[in-house]
Amino acid sequence: MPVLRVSTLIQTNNMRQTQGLLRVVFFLSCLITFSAKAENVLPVKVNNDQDAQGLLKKMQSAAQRLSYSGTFVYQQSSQIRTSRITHILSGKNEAEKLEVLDGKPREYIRDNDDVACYVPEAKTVLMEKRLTHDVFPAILGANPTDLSDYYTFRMGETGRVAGRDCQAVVLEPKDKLRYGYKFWADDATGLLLKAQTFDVKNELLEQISFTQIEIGSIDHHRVKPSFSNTSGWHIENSVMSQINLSNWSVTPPPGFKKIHEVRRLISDAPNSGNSAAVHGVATQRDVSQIVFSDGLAAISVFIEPVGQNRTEGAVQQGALNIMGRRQGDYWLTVVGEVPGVAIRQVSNSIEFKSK
Amino acid sequence: MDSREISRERISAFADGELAHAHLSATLAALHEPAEQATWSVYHQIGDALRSEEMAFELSEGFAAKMRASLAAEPAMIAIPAYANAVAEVALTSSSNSDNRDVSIRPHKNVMRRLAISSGAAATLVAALMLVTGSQQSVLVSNNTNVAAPMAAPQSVTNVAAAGTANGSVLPVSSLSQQGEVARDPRIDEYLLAHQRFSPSMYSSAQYARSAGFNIDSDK
Repeated sequence: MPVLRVSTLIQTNNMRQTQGLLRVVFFLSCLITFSAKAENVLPVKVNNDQDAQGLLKKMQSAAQRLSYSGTFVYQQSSQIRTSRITHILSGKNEAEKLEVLDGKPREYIRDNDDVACYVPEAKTVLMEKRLTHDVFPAILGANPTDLSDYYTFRMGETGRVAGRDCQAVVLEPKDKLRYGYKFWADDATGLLLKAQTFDVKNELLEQISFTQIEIGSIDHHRVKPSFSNTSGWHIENSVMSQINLSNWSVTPPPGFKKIHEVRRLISDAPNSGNSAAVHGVATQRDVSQIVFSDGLAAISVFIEPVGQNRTEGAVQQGALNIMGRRQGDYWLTVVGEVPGVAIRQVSNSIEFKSK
Repeated sequence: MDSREISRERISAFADGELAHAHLSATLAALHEPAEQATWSVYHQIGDALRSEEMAFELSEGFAAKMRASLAAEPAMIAIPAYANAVAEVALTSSSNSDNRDVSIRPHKNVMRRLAISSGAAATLVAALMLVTGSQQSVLVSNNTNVAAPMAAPQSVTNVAAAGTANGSVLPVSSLSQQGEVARDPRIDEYLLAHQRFSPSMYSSAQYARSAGFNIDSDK
């Protein structure tokens, strides 16, 4: 209404009234600004994206330089999963233990860049090299300044998570090819305590949050594996090799850069419910994988020769979208924690350039 | 280029969703001609075959006419919000429920939406749909309701009823696949796992943990 009236008044050239109205508008906007400030109870200077970026950087470093141990919950749709993370930095060495607390026991023991996954019921240890800093509460290796090309940063509300006061940072995507995020950082240490992912309609897709955490000195034995006697256990090394997939052209959404290009063997385990199960043998397939990331989310493109019959289509699981399609003699699968539209766009962009 | 060729060119563009808006009404008018209708259908067949070998089959004689008739005979369905949400939320079931994997279908969202509208007509084609509702609703399609039933939380029955589907608690819906079922490929987990190893997403720890262990998880 006021807008309409302003234009009408300008048209009639009644300057005096216009000015009066503008004064009212000015007064109203002051009021709005004031109430917004009152709500946040924050100094004005915090309310800009520079500070939001700074806090994000603080979260990144806190996860590495602090020692902590806590229980966190991951929730997506009706599923909940509880895990415990313990992280110790002594000198330059990082040690970490991730325990899955629901369902079958699993433990991931990290010693700097070496990760060992303990699978007790199969008496197996899977050894691999760490590839990303991806274990909560560690987030994104990306530089927040680079992220600001594709996300709008702003300070969110203050709150309390796992008994600790915290401050939220909101990252809103600038296009429809990625999701929005909200991160809560501990006031005292900057450690990430809670994270949420939102879709384009601003609906919550998934979230992860500490329910209890201690930050400070953590005893060293708490990052040791719980399985002390592993004699007779099977030790498996993950097979993966770097390759060159330059014959394939894939166009990711803007801001997504190629971070990995690997060849891997994917095993169809005997009990995975496919035809191999009948014979009780694990079959292995040779799959090439290209990974793109904008620093917050990643998109993987899997390329493999057409083997068994499959059905083309797209599915969604929380923030993850998956799309499979056949192109000539190849089966292409695109997976990523980005909206379906981005996955489709990537899938359609894949081309094989014969030399 | 004669006018016929131009018209075909436009039909092709229209079939691909690339027709310029200015040519829309002319093309729609051209499509009244039986010959051009045949062109339209052939172009779609070509497109389908190009996209997947499995789509390269011929529809039975008079399929379109029969489909139209069934659609016309169908009562108009007014989607109430709860149902619309359920359809929009085509979620995967927990991947740890390996026993149920082979019976769960996850068609593409849009396909689901489109098909849900024509539920009655689609019954000629296929399987049963169960609406499983948790805190967020998800849709499962199965041709074996007995197996799928344990996955449906008890409260889902009331929610389904509230969703006002024309057919009570079980809503027949079609799948594009010939067999009437698009099983969720258990191999999806392998891709998710492989992806999450590289993803910077902090959810990966929780997700990764779930599917980790080279499917050892899925033996029960």
